[in-house]
Amino acid sequence: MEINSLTFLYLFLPAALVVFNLTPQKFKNGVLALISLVFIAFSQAQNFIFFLADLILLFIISKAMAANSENPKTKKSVFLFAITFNAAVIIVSSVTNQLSGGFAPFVAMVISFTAIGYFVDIYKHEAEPINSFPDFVVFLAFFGKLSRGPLVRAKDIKYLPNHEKFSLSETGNGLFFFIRGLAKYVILALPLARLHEELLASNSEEISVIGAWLNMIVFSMMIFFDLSGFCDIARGLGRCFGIELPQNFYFPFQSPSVSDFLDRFNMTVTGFFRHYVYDVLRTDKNSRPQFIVNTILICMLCGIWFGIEMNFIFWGLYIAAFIIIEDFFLLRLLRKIPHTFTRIYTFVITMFSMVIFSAPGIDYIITSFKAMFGIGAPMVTDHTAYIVSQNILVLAVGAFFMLSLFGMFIHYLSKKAPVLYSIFAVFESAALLTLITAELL
Amino acid sequence: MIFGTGIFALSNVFSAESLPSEENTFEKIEKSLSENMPFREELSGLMDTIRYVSGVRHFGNIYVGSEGSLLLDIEKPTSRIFSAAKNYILGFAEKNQIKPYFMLIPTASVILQQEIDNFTGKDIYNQRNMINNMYSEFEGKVRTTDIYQTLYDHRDEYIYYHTENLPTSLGGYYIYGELCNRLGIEQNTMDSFSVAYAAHGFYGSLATDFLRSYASSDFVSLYEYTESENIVFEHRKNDGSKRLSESIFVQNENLFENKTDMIFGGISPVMDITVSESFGERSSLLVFGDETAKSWLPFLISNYDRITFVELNLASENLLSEIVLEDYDQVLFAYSTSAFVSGIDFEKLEFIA
Repeated sequence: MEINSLTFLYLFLPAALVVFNLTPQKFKNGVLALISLVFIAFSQAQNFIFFLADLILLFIISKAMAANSENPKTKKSVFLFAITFNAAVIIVSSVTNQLSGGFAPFVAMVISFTAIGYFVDIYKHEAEPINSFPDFVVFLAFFGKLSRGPLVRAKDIKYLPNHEKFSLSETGNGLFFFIRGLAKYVILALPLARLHEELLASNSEEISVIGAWLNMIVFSMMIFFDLSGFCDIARGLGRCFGIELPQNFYFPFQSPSVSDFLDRFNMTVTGFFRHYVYDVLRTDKNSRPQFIVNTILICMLCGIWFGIEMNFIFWGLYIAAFIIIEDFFLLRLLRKIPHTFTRIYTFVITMFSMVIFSAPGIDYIITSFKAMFGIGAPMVTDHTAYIVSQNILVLAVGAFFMLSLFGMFIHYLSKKAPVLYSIFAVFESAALLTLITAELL
Repeated sequence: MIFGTGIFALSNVFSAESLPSEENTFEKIEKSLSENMPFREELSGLMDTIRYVSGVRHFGNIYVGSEGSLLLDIEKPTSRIFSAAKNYILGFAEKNQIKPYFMLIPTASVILQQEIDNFTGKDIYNQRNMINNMYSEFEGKVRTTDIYQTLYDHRDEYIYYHTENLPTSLGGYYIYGELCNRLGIEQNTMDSFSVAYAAHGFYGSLATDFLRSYASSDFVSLYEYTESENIVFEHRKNDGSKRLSESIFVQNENLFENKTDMIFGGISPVMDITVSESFGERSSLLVFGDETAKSWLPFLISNYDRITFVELNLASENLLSEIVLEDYDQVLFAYSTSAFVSGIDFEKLEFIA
């Protein structure tokens, strides 16, 4: 069972909401933990025992750290074991997935990275240890965030009023968010993924300038709607079950610089590495060498978040190179020119970064870069033109929702005319739910 | 360490990370939910309608033609299909010391390509090359019949059903004409056949509820040789049962979901058609073919004493072993490109006595 299935949408979620809201307040986290474990069992049947054992072991480690808070030596040993263990889980799950394709790297990634942050926080006394196993499971493995994140720190997790008592308003808001996120994934990301496959096949026969650019734009849109869609799903489900989860994307493809792009793209992950790696390693704020090394490191880690594969590491290095260049001189130059041009600059640079991000090999990067620069490639092929003609709608809708125009309208409406916004949201959700169901049939 | 797609691997994007047993349970639930969803038909058509309005004319393997034809593109054949067909047919010919006839019938998706816009046309599989390649494999050992150009020359006529991936009887007549040339028999003119029209306004299997709105309906033409008397038409089933009739047509269209089954009453594993001697002494023909035979085989009856039709994918070993090759003067293999690339059980040829 996946989140983007009729089974989840029409059976699992309604049942989970009813059970959760009928549960007395003091058992709510216990029930939510149980719902999350049931979700893992249903969606990751072959790895369920592993994830359950992982969560139990992590809780025992957490207890051991709390118990040894007055014994620095033992506490440090337990801490180092916790970090090593979680790093090993990340590496093994990613490598196993590469070799057999049977492992779900993201569930392991979300649990293990969240756990690393948690153990660092309690080691540094920046967060209180979680004492109950249900609370611990909800924090690490709340089912809404297992698909793509976001990453949450222990001190940032907030419970909403409807975590204690049913609130139609909060649950309704959560469902609006959830449906929007699901629509991004089902109506946009999946068709864009299929379009990307079509373009890849077409480009492998004969690549054109437009074919190469379009492929990267489509891939970028797919990544955006996939990740931000799942993040909206997580935030929506969080609200339904009384948990506030942070925003993870803020229109990254209209950033005025590459540095800004990284701040808007997968924000919780970037923030996580910035807090736990960059800030820890940067002892001298004026040291240029430290800045360069740390920037390269966190960009590479941001890449590795998507999988321990060469293309993601190269993508991190490429982004780091531009952040460093911008810090040296380019950012000052960019501030002097109109926003439109800085956005075009960032868009072009990030499009090239997506070539690396999506590359199955070095040859692909060279061929795509050459075509994007118009070297030895025709402007357009008939096949590319045909693919465009057949996908105008998804391209237009995707481009529209990748920009902030609609988001700004929604934000404006919710502030200035909340009643109108509520009516709009009901109709929007009904329309999107109809389209999602139609697509999933 | 290698390059890869990480979480964006298609297996992840399209989500399939589960045990087979777990898949079965949830697949069943998902399927049941999908099948029992209220307003299912309306919802299914909704996304397709949105795509159609936005200019999409390509739904799965079906293209919507400008003249209301639904054109099913064929899968690109694997080299295994070619080599299996070549080896088994050549082996069959060598073993039995015969030189069979072979014909591949192109589908509407290439012959009626003018109904699809130029860009879309580029995407359609090139059946011309495929037929040429297959024929070149048989050169000198099997007598091939090329009907591509003939059908193409008549593309403005009703030679393919709009909503069924089959030639019509008119298309079948043009195929018959080419076959006559190749088989060395005299072609009977159209005047020699009486024609009855039936099943007016039917929609075939390509017309889903959504596509029906954009497709033209069909009708069935039943061509019968005016001098045909004393036909004995026998359907043979794998369980040994036989059904006899005196006509190759079943006039009651309500008996069939697929209206083209009015011809022969549908295809059986083996069909045997014998004609009285009133036409004079003629020869016999063994045909290995598929559903397209419904279009051209009725015309050939006017030229033979006996025709036995065999559908290799349907026929059992026992049924095939009842066929004695020496009883026939000529052997013809005739398949649509569509059926051919889907795979024909040519290995069953070894069961023919």
